[in-house]
Amino acid sequence: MSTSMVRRTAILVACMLFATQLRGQQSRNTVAFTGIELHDGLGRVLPEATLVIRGEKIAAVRAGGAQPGEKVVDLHGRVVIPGLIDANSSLSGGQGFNYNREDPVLPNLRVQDGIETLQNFHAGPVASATGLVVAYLSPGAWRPIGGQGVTIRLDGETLLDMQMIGTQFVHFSINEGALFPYGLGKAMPQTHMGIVATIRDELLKARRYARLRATARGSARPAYDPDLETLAEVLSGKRIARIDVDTAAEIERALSLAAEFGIRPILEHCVEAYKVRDLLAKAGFPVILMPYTQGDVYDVAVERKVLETPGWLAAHGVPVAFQTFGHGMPPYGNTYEYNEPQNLLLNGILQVRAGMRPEAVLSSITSVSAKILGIGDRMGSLGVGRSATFVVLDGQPFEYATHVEQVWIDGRRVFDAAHDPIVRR
Amino acid sequence: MRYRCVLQRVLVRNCLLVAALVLCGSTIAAQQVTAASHPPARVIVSAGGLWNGIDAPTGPVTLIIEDGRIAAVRRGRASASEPGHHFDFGDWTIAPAGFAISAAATPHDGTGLAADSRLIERADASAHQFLEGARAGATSFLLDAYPQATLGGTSSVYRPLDYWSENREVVPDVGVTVALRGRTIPPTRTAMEASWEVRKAMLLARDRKPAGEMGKLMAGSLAFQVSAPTLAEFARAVAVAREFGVHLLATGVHQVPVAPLPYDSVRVLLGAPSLDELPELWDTYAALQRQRISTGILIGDAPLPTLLALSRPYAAAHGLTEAAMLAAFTSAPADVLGAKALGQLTSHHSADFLVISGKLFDARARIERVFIEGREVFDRQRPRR
Amino acid sequence: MTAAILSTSPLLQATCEAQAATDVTLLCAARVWTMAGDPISNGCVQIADGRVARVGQRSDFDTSLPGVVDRPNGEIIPGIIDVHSHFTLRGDPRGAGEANERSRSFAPDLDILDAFDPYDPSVAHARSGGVTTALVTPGSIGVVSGRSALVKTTAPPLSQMVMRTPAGVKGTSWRPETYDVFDHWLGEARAAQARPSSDTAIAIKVGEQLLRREIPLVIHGGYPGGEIEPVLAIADKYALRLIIYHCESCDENYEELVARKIPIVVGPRIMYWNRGRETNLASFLMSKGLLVALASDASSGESRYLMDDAGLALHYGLTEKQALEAITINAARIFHADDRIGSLTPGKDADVVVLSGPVFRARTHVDLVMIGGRVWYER
Repeated sequence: MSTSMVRRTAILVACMLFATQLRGQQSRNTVAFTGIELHDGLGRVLPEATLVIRGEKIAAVRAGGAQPGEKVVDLHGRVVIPGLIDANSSLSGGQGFNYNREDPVLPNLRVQDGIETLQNFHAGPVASATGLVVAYLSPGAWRPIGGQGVTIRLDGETLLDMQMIGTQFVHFSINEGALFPYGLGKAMPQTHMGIVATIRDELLKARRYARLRATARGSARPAYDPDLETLAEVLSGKRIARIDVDTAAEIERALSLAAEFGIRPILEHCVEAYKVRDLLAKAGFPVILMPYTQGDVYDVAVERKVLETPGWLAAHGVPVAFQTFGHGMPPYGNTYEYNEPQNLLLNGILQVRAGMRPEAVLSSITSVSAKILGIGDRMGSLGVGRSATFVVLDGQPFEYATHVEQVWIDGRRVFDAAHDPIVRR
Repeated sequence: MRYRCVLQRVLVRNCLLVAALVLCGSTIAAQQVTAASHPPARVIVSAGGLWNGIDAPTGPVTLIIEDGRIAAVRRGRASASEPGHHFDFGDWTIAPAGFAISAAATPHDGTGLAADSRLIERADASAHQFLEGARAGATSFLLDAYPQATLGGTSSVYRPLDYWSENREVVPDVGVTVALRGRTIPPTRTAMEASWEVRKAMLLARDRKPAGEMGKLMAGSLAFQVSAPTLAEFARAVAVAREFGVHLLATGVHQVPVAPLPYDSVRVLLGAPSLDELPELWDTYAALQRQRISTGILIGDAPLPTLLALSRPYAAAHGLTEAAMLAAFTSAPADVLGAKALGQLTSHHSADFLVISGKLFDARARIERVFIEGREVFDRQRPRR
Repeated sequence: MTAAILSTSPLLQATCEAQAATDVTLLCAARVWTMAGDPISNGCVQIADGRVARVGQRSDFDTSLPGVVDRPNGEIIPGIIDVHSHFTLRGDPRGAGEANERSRSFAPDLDILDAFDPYDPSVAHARSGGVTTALVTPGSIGVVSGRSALVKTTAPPLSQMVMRTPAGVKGTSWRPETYDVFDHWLGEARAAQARPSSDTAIAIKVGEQLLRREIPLVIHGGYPGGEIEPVLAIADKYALRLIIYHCESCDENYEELVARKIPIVVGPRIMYWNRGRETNLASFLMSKGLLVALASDASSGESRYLMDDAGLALHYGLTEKQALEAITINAARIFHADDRIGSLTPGKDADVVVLSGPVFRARTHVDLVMIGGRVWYER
């Protein structure tokens, strides 16, 4: 162990002591946060409201003040929103994410097996300072069939306590990232034709495997194959496909593959969604959109349409979430240190300016992304019985002048800007 | 850093004393009969004090060793007329020998997968390694294939009885060695890919129940032996062990999560510690003890007396006695590895011990002699007999 | 590629229409940020002959005349200045575009205006975000990569856009030979000053301009591994005007910069993870008394979000005034162009941006962009 490791451990221990202290302060009693403007993440705004938590859960959300027996925390003038949920994050698992593109088909590659500690990629405190509580880590779009991500809580230390739900998502990629395994001219796919054929072949194999495993006897019954098991679960709906697409043509291919195999995938990135809005609205699959990246070159008029598209899709019933996972790869893409595209609240400013209702933008990074990740019954909205996971802001969301003051997860305060000044101004 | 400075200061201040000890040691050596390559059936060792690896130390003592095992431990010095091969170490101290990790050679096929192989066949028990271990106070080695192989083969605990002789296994089947990290063989592998190779082998073994090592791993007769030097690797190892319900033996551990482990079939070998990481070593050791996780500490480059002497304040902060500290390096790893005959100097145990000039808990103390099964295998004055 | 975008661009057509519109002579809004003193509530900016004629309270002007743009809820700011841009310099990406003449590491004779493409749509893009002046500059691959120029974001011909050329010489600090190359060059230039000649090489003439402090030396540096010590030594030895771009690790050795009052251009990254904390580099360096501007380092049209970059800097600690200064008057001062741009006082170029609401607010748009007294963009 080096001295830096010693130092890191010391910091970790200090953090833990601090956290224990905070934990100690939480009484098991009912706590009422009064005087707040409450945005419930489902489109409702309650001015002068009270949020009551008991233990890990929300006990009440009401207009007006506290009731007898409730310990009052006056948050007058503050805005309370649900904890933010990043549907596809650029947080890195360290060495888990690299550019090794060999093996075009690896459905069982798991991000959780490559994940580092939160301290190692110093995401914990910085993520908290941006109001983020849960993030989905993706294995990247480097293969036609590329493995499984994991949804983690950002108040954990190692994957033993930050992992929140299992890995029900299997990643597919129809974009350029999936090309050229082992190099140029070496192995399929070298073209989009090759990508789609690879995916189709594997899914057909899995369909046949599942049928024979269920019906055949003796030597006709295929041997157990963990890769085909996983793909068979995608076909049966037990797992959900997440398909990475950039261009409008790739979006169309993803939609036709979904129809061919009768699956309901989530579409990721969708850079050119603005060109195929009607198709996406008709399909109704959830879309996880790229953050706006400044390098994109559009005509001013086209750009306006690009920026308006998320709002248009949401208004047409498509579940729209925003992700922080851009094409920006390391060194900028893999931690929260490069704030511009990683901060869901600041990123939302551009959507608000493009005309999307602020409440719709807020839903997209709370209740909608929670629902897409399968945790909508616990997180992403502020209602009775839900997890007491919320963010206290000093002003309206989606304004540069607004800051995160506190972050609470499961009734426990995990970040307090007053005690934990992450940002040196 | 601080600890290194302390050590340096201590060493500089005492270089004269050390020189004196060297002279003294050679005088004692001259009085003894050179050990035969085949030890006599009965060996009688007298010394100024004994730490048996379990209890508080005792004063002048005599060990009666028969056929490599301790037959009796007696107070006071032995009479020269007693039949047997005599060693008298004056006021020097005797303590049990400890444990270290030994790396086996890389599997040759380049896949990083060699579960059904025995590491002992690729073990590299060179004179160098043997001497390094002896100098620091370790005589028993746990084999590992880290970091070269994802699934390295079956490990064992062995002792290189001398640097020219064959390795002798004391615990033949410990575990299947695993590295859940990237950059194993082939070198482009990520941690995700390495983990998948391991998990895939385990999934198939669970389905097919093969007769080989993977089958034994899944059935619980071999441990899931994971090298886990980083916190992330340790967490990963616990997660995979929990997923498959196998017995985890985590080795080379330096850091464990603050939160209690969600799985209890876990044994841990910490270290090997360097002198500047002693504070966290004992924090981690105490944390694991609180969770009742069987834990031992491995010995690396730093010699056992120095480790013990400089550890005292950090271990004491957790309420550990000196005897308990020594046990962490001797009887505790023996327990972890199921090496019933090793790690303590009481009746019926293997006579593997260190002879230390002066007191055990003294940074100036040196390991003068090393015995395995009652046979002298190392003499600091003549390391290359 | 560029031609294809151009031929289908409705923008240029819009631009031409804007040029034909009635001349605007008075701009009024709820607040006028002159960047010279406090902002004026309910103020107006009067334009004449392409310059600011008068600035004052709305009550002092006749707003009933034709040619008045009045936004009672809006705000007026000076045209935004992006002092680090590579826009329009696309070229072949294998060669890092038109910004870098990769064959040479010493090239003060190169003029960025010979690569700058006034017909590229990223000019209109930048303008739509309120950018009225850009310092277009060569890249950072050579020790000396060429001369930069200040251009207005109007429209071709190029001669109509150029405000000042050269506006600086671009160099880098990361190459090991930095000190020796500069020392040799400027030594020669100093010697040449003593014997003026009509056929002096361009490189030497440019060196003389640096020595006369007519133009600044603009250095891409201050990265970890891109130490600025060699250029500080050169600037000291030859008494140069030095400007440093990026300056990522300058929160560690800022004393050297403060002692020499060296202006810093931060961006596009503003926030840095350093020693366990996020540091707002802009506010940190400002707090040490340095003149700091924010810039986009645009490769195409990113300049249009420079106001959002400043908004981000505001989020992380700058005041509204500081954030606005960083993209207007500070940028002008750094390049000694504050006699013409960066603020709204009588006699300055009429480069004016009208916002639909308060500056740095989510729902505020750039409503109108005036450059040199002419409206070039209207939302």
